[in-house]
Amino acid sequence: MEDAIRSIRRAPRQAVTEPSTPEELLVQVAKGDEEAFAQLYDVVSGPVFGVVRRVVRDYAQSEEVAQEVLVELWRTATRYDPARGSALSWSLTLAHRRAVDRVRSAQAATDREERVGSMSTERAFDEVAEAVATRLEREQVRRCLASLTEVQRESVMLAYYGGNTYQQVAKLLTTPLGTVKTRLRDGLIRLRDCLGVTR
Amino acid sequence: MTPDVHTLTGAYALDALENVERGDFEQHLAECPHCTDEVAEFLETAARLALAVDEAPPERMRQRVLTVITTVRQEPPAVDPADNVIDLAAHAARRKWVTRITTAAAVVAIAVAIGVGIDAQHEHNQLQTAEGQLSQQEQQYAPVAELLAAPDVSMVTGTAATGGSGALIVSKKLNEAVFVASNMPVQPNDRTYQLWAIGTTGSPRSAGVLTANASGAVNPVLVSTLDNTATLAVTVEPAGGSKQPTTTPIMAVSLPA
Repeated sequence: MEDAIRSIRRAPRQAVTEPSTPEELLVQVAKGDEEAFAQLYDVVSGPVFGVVRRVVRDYAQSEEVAQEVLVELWRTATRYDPARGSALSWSLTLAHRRAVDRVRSAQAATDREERVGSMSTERAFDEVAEAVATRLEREQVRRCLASLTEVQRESVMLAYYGGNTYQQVAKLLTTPLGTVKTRLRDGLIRLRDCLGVTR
Repeated sequence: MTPDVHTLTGAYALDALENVERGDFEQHLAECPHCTDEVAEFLETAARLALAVDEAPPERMRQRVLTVITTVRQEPPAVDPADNVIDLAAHAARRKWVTRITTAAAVVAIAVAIGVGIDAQHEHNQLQTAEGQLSQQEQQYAPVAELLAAPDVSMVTGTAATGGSGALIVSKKLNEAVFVASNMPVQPNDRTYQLWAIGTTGSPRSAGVLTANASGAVNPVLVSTLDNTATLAVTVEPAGGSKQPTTTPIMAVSLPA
């Protein structure tokens, strides 16, 4: 019976020759379409897992977080509004947020100041930079990251890939808080313009 | 919009704000269309940073996720225009008087609800005080009025182990709640009360710090996205608040099912 329902559901999509965009898929998922979700999974699971891995690092934990993110994507697809942003941005914002939640709740159990203090700037930044540099698959992103000033790039990467708060970035770079806030915003403006991101 | 708040758009889009500051900035976002646009563009930009580190997840995860979702009910879509920021702004002027009246009622209703125990004399004074301070309080209490007008509004109360009581006014439909408390012992300068939204999954989210005035009343706190929150709890934290609770809650209020 269930198979029959599935095949009826699938029929109209086979008539469409163009592959669905992530936005179309997510809108379909909001209607409870499991087939559309499987397709969406194939599009977003790589970047979702990739960004979670960058922040969480531990493989098993990353798998756990990524799996939670993908299930949450199914659960909350009903709240997605294509007018407010792309489906990829929606999915990856969720993934990054959950990754950061995970590392910060783990950190809360320890003395955070001590932890940050004991990590030398060079090590923290090199780890992130190295991991990313070897994995950067998109020439454009690499080029655009290279177009930032050194301090903007360091700040953006420590915040996004490192999962650090701007206070932690400030500590790592021995830089005033206000300067870091400004660098993050200016860095994103430059990246946005370089990548030609529009809404 | 102060220039200082505005520079947080970058840190916000990169999830580089601590919980308390993130909550405050989200409240600011609701009334700053320019910041909202900038944040949306920054989130698209950040998504590109994620695409650049694409990594194939383990093969087993696909089947597991596709199996799990068959047992997970999707959230109902938000159908209420109340979560449309622009709509709310457009209505604000028209609703001003309605809000004023409902706000006065709300102040009294809450005072009664949380057992301040006002006698007739006090009630009169309190009403006058409430009315006198209304223009200042309007902004603080407007969310309460908003909530009280929701069709599914309900209220739950709790008492604190350390003295004082709290009330939570909830609308599942608006996905919002307001927490108010009274008779809370004033904390020393280096401590503060902090409110936490605790979900069925994930770690507690800070819903903001609570400042008790000399008479033990605290500022009402709006929890603007309840989502899967099941419980609101209050802890005592170092001044400025913590990222995660560091002490045992002194009060916990469960949301109506």
